[in-house]
Amino acid sequence: MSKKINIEELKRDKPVYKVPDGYFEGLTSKIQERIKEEEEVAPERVWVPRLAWATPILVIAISIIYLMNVGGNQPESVEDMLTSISNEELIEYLDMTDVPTDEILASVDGAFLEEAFSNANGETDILNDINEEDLDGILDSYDLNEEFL
Amino acid sequence: MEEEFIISKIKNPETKNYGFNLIVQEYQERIYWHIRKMVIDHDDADDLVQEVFVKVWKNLDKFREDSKLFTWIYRIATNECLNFLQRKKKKFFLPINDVGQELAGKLDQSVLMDGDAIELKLQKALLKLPDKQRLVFNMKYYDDMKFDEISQVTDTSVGALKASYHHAVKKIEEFLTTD
Repeated sequence: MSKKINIEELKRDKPVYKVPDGYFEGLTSKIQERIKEEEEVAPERVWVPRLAWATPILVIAISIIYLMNVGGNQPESVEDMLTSISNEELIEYLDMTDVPTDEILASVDGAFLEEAFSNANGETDILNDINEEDLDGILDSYDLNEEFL
Repeated sequence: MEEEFIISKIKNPETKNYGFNLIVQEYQERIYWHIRKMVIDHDDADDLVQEVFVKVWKNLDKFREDSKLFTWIYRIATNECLNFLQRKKKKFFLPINDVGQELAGKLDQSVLMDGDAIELKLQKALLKLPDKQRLVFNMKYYDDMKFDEISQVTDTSVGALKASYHHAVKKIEEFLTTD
């Protein structure tokens, strides 16, 4: 059986490892040289993060300007588009469609109609120009329920 | 040299450079040996000791005197060692044993020829310990540091350090006796 070893008995005051001759005499100046080198490099390092940020900032700025310009050219609202169409074109379009007259009238507000006819004829009541005979003829051409009569 | 004297120099902007030179002269050798025992290779230790003092210089204004100056520097050196060994393992995708074998290989060239065979065996046994346990063992066994000083350096409780050291000693003695 091997004899038990007590590591406290192995303690030595001398260094265990080999070191190049005169190493510690030159170490202080090596450290000072290294710090000097690091400080000379440091100003360049300051620019690295700045450049790293510059690209995304530039991209974001260009994107914002682009979006703002595109935003200015966005399609007009439906109302704006309709105002650019003449009444004649609108009536012609509605004639060609199968949309029932009552649906068209229901979607247009009364004040608008009154104004439109007033502008067209100079009068608010369009029936003023129609005599009773013509009116009967018009009513006959439509298949109206009794509740409207 | 008294720590208070060095601290008074580094706290004064006019004498900061002088104070730092005093730190280097006072502690460079002890820090070198602390690192060398962990990384074994002289060139690695040489590079790391310089890196440690660069960090000390850069962070000198952050030294708050809530610990001893030497403990603070020791802590920086300890972190550098552990990070270095960690990087070494990751860099070469080596399992712990292989790094241990690599360091053991360097031991044969590094240990002084006048060191007897048992000394070389002790160093090889140390390499079988986990890095942190080896670190604790070195600070207690070679540097004669008190457990509360080691506690400040490693940020570990005194109780845990005592247990760690006790286990390390048992493992090493077992290795030396049986192997």
